Amino acid sequence: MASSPAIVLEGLTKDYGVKRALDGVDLELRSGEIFGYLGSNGAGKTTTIRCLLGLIRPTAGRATVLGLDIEDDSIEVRRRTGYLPGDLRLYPRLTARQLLDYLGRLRGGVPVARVEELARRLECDLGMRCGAMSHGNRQKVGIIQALMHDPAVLILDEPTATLDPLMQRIVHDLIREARDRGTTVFVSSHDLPEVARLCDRAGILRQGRIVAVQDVSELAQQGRHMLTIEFLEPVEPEVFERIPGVSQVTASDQTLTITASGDLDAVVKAAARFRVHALRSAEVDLDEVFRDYYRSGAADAP
Amino acid sequence: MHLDVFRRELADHRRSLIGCAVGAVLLGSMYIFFYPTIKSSGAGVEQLLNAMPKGFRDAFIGAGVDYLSPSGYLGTELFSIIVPALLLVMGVLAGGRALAGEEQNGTIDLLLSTPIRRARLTVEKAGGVLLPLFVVAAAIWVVIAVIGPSQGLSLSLGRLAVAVLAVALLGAGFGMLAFLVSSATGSAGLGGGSAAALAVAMYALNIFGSLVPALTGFADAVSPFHWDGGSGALANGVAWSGLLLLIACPIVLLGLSIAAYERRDLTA
Repeated sequence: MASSPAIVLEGLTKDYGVKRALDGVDLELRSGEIFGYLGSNGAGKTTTIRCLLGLIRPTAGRATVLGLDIEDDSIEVRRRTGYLPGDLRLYPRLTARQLLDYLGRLRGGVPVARVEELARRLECDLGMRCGAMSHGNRQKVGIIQALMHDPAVLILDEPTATLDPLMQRIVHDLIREARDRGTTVFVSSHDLPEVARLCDRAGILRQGRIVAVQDVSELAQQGRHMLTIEFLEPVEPEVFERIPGVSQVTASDQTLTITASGDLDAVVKAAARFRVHALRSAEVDLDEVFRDYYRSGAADAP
Repeated sequence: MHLDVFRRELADHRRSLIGCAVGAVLLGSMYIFFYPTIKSSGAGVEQLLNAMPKGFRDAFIGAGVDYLSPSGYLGTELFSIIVPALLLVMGVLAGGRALAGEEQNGTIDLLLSTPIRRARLTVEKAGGVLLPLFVVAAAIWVVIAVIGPSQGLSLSLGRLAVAVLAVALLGAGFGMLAFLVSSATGSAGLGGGSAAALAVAMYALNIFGSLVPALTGFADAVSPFHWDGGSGALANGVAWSGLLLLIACPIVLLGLSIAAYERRDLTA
């Protein structure tokens, strides 16, 4: 099992009426990796995931999970998969324990001890009615139900979008532990830094197409910063334009906005030759990175 | 998997089931306890009824049925409108909601991410819609069988059983129609609404069928409200053909629901 891919998508396509939501997605997930599925809202991440779970049917193409066809062997795929929906809804009148018991029964029973352990780690009160829970607490219940049967494949749609940083870390730990036990994790996100922290590899989805698949370490190098520097004296933008890695410099009065990738060392040292009033740095948003990939068409599939 | 969805469905709606059963028992007892009073004012009531056009009388009381007899009285008061209406509303509301409700509440993703077949889910959900109808019908049978004789309402319990069964099947038929439309479209409102509209139309057709001789044959063949014997069910019994149609409808509709749900894209 170790060498064969855990999830394979071949030309997966989904149309909603005339709108093409997924356009021939090819993807291979290695067994035992955490794969980040990056894309902005509406890129087709949830559509891909709901196809894998058999909730919707692809218009064309095919996919397998653990070698099982997602359409013909959907029951077996679901038996071995843990799934966290992107828009998680629980039964408001059930307590978390009743809900987990119900879902566990539909899976033929899950160990109570495992549920209790996950609840303890996530600080989740299982006696509380789902309807009375905060968004974050409901999300914890969702994570417990995805993990409680120790599935061979985890499919998580934006798992930490509504969690505070502390809980995010705990969830990331749980995901890594699952990976270390051999679970293959397919996690969608629109948050590049999160994917960089959590994932081994990532694919970028844009308008229903895969535009890049890369090791996360490579992807991180593509991460670009936007520096805004306010100077106390006039400066020549050309000084910065010459620095390798700087792609764009715009000047207004004594303020420069510099877009740079990779190491910022040279930029900061160049700025230090002048009197600096303030310096702000922001990650270039993901969409910029997408647009880069989209323009260059850098779809270097594995 | 031991009918977990079916049991969940019943547990989730036990309050409304208990409410409907209690309501049916109270309603039934009320009419039972009215009977001695109505019967003692016999001549006046008969006069009133005989003043009605024959078509109207037959439509509401049943052809050739003596209103003041136990089966005529209960048939008219309970089995012409009230009990069918109660079971219809139960069936249509539950049928519309049972499967499409999971989609509209967004819980279907969680439910169908477990290894349960859609056909199985459909059948268990349908079971959760149907069983309460038969429970309430049984409660009506019990209250008439137990309290009725003390108020002078003695009638064939076998015939009563067939009559309540027929009315439960009527609710089941329209309930399964709501179930079919809602599971095929994902909309509980559309399912419930279309089934309710058809029920009203069929009820009206049945009444017109009794009033307009030219319509009688067509209405009797098409309207489920004729199949169940209507207000004459206790006095005249329920025809085998009607009973078979009432049994066949929910089964066929359930089969269509399974097929419609099997390959559908579920709304996120």
